[in-house]
Amino acid sequence: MAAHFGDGALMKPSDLDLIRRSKAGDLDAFNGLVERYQGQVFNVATRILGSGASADDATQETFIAAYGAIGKFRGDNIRAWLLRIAKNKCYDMMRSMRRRPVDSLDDMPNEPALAASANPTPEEEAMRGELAAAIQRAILALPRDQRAVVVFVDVQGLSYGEAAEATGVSIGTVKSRLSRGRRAVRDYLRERGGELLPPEFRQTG
Amino acid sequence: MLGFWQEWRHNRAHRLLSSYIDDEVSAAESRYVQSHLANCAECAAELESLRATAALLGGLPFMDAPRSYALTPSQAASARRSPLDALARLPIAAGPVAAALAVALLIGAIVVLARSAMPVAMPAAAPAAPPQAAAPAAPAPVMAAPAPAAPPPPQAAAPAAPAQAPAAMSAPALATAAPAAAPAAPTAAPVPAPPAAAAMMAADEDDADGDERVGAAADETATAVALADAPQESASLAVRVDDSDGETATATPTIAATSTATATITPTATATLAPTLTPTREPTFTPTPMPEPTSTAAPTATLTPVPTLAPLGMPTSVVAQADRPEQGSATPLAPEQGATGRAAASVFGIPVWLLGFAGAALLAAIVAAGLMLRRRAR
Repeated sequence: MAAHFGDGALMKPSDLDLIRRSKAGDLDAFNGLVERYQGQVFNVATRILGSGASADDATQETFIAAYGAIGKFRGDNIRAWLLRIAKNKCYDMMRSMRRRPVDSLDDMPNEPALAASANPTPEEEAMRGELAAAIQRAILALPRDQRAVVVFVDVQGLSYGEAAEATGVSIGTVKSRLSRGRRAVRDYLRERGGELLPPEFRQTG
Repeated sequence: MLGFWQEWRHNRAHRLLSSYIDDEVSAAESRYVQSHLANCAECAAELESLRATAALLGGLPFMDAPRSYALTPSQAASARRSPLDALARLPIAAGPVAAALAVALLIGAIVVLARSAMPVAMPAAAPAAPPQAAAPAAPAPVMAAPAPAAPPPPQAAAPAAPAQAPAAMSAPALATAAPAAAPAAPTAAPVPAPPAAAAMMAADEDDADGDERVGAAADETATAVALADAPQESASLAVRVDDSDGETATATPTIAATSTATATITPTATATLAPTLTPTREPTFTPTPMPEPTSTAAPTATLTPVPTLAPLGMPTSVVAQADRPEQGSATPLAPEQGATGRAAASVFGIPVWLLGFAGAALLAAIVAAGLMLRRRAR
């Protein structure tokens, strides 16, 4: 599909421009948005689901659903909107994962795949392996609402306002979910992180 | 140990720590946390651990998309496809099967409809039990007391109708004057018995102005008079619906019993109220419970609004029963009782379930047709 978005035609169109054209049915314009945000959507889906394969499905479904619903999009933050769809797709995925008797969440079969698909910087390189896997497990141990907020804010770097938009709750709720989620991650890592962890974690308190 | 006040302050700061890390607190909250941190080692440690946690989470490698998720034209088409089109992906046998099913359903529905239409209409034609009752379609409870010797209308305590009453009254509640309003609800056919059957009914149309009143009604009031009457006695049941300015309506059931000797009113006085088909769902009935008749004149006849609202602006039946005036007990007719009860949820005498059935069959037929056309188009 690379032929659909040649570099020349879509040099740097704004999001709003692409949205406007997408609403008119311009698939190339929509795919411009896909290219722009698929990384973030995939990253969020991977961290929420803990599985590269599921995240792949969730990402594709997110963009298919977004294309179907782009006509109803009102607003200016397409990223929060897309991440909200992605979050919902992840929740759907989690439901179906629960239905299937697969030990998908707890034993992270895909962490090597995750690492392989990343573009690690030296710092991230250090994070790979056990510690990253432990953190991912800590995320997966969270209740899903806390998980989504933690991923949005701490992993993906959304502002509280954007996270509120992407989760469909108030900023106050984002704050409390994030606070509880961070504490839960910390406690999880304290229990199981061992010597991988930085010194702050070994303090009791 | 910390005192209560200190503990409260500690908890407050503790709660704010996570947001404090991200500078998502107000200036006042920020100062508050800072001052607390200076004195609370526990919170200081907590802050550090939370900060470290956030840093760890933020340091997770970014999982870049392993491939392009740009939509292909076929994916795009599937995204904009209507749910109905999903049927096109059913197995090939589904088309004929669905079509056959639809036809069978339709035929079955028509047959059943033709058969059942009769019995529903029949009881109405039976002039044997003529007590006509007219009631407003409002849930305004109505009590009538055909007392054997009860002279003047015992004023039963008039319960205030709910605020929605005016809206509910939009449906013309017509019993005796029905024909125009109730084209296919012959149950309400006017069969006024000779002695004293003048049932007048005026129903307010929606608006509080009362522009569209029918029948002889006093101003500002819609008066419905129903006469239940048996050969020798007559009891008239008057319903007054006072309609104040639209927002509220009070129903004042006035009870008039002009019966002289006998006390037997034909057991069931039924009236099926057919609103002129306003397919809107305006008649939002809040089924108010029947109020306890506070009238001392014991014998009462009760007019019970059947709260079942048929889907599409259906006639709502109001079943009235005058029962044994000597005992003064009033028993509301259960919806199952009698033909009128059965006709309660019906449109033009056609039970709603049947309509639903026919509708489903029609839908199935349409779907099947669309499905086959679609296949052919490919």
